[in-house]
Amino acid sequence: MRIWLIGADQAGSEALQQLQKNPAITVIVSDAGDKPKAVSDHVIDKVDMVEHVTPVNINQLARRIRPDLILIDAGAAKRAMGSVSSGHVFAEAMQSEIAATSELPCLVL
Amino acid sequence: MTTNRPRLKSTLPKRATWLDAPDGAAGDGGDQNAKTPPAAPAAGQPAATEPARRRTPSTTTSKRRLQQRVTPLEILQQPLEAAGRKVFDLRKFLLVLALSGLVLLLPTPPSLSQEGHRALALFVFTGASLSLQPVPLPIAALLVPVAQVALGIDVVGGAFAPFADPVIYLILASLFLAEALRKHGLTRRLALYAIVWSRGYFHRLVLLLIGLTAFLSMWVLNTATAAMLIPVAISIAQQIHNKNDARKLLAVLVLAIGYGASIGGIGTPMGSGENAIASGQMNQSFSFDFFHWIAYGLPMVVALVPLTWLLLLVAFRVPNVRLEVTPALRELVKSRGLTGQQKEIIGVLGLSILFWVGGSLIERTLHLPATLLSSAVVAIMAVALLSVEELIDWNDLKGVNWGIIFVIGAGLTLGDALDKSGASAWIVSLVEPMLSGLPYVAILALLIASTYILTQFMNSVTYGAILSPILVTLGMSSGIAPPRLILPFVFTLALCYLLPNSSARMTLVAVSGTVDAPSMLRSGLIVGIPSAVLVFLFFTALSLLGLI
Repeated sequence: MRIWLIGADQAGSEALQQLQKNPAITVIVSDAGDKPKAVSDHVIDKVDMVEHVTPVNINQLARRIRPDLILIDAGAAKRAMGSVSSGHVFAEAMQSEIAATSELPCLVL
Repeated sequence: MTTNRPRLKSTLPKRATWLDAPDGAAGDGGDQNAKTPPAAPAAGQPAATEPARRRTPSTTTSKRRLQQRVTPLEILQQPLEAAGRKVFDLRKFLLVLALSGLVLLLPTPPSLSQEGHRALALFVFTGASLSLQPVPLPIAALLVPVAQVALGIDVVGGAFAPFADPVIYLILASLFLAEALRKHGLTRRLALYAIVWSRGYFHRLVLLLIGLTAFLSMWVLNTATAAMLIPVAISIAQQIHNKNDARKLLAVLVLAIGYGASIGGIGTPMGSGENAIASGQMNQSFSFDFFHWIAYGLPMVVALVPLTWLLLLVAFRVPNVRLEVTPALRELVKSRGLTGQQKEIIGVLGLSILFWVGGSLIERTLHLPATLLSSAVVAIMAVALLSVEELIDWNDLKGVNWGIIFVIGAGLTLGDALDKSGASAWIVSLVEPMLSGLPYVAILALLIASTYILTQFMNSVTYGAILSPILVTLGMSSGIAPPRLILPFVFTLALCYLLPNSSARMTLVAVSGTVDAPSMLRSGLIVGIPSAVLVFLFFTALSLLGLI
């Protein structure tokens, strides 16, 4: 099973640690930055793809990565938007939109 | 416990491999991978089990190549980084303290009490801290009552009392309602309806989006509305296939939502933070309820929506391309109409609107206890009903924009301090002689022009917080009914379209990365100036007709 994890912040790191338990699962990790929490916490060495995923490019990227399931960790986005009024709402709406736009099964962590 | 584990991801099949194999090693192996992707290595497994792609040096190239292929829109890389800022800026904080201290060191004007002098220092402290933001805006706002106590203007109970003003709860409830709309996908669904009703014609879609955003912004805080709808606009833009048009059309869609939110916020006291402050200030001096506000706000919204639509299309000169409506239609069909929860939310919102607008009349007719159906009580009851129906729970409400509550509270605190200390009356005594003898139309023109210019550079809520108390006192002492000054002032505050810092809505537009700064500036001028002129004409007409 192939899983594409978008964002490797707190929830993403926890998901990765759980997914490690099953070696049959392939996880492709993408993040907007190259040193997300999962990397700094040494859960993974580095992210597979530095990419800012939006509703515009999710499906094109998914066609290339070909995951069975997409997981989204919005933690970093929410934190980055924390200083903007209603930034949390914006980040959540963006993640929901990505999930709604995705042609593949997609879960927001 | 192992601290440095190998990468979980082992391989991507060749078709998903976006790096050129440096030595051709990935060739055949990659093809095999494409047929049967190998299992990921377990943690700690040696790297030798991974194929050649494991040796790829970085992901930079892949990112560039993917972007070249994926979409007619250039993907927006900077938005989240743009939102980042320092949490505490000592230099700015010292500047705020220095400015406030400077006011304190100046000799007290003869006609001003010592307490009033200190309130002037608080005025400068509030203006400087909310504008310069040495700390995040909500924290800066919380420092206002602290400074009030430190300056000896009031004791802690009095300084924080305005934070419990009913209008605070009205705004809080409107944020909760926004969360309910977002959680149950109602805003998205309405946007899908807009796409379908537009039949794919872009110009019509822009009008519908401005109208929809404006309508929602009347009942839930306009910033929250913009935050919910901008991502939908980004999705809509996927239907634009022409690469040259895509970026420009996306900018129009996002700006339509930003402008629509600003316009809709004018309509009610709960539409925006500055409205809430102004409404709270007026209600401290005289009765000015929800119905009074909407009687002026709604016609203004109705007039501004088509004007903004026309000017936005003029500003960008976009073709009336036809978008594909099938995906939106398919999604609507797939979801088989409104869900029961969505219907309940619409019902609660509809009932709330009925009570907000006609609450005082119903109260009088049914001899209900006074203020039982005041806007804040109705809003809280609506949220309670949504909670009872299990449409929202406390976890949903944690993420709402609590910060705005503190900013509104700071504005009310400042107004209270200026009023009690006599500083407000002193400021007015300086301004009043300059205005005496001038006709209302001239004062209106001065007010709207100065507000329009200043609101572009200063956060609109901050500006509203600082000037609303002054305008209420000015109106009452000069014989001009305060709403004749406050309403045009607040309506003009909403037209802060030029710069990202002028309002939270425009900040969101900017951080979405869809509109570049020159476009925002140009469009803001083309749309904003005629809109300000319309506000002026509206209040001039009302004044001539004796309706305000």
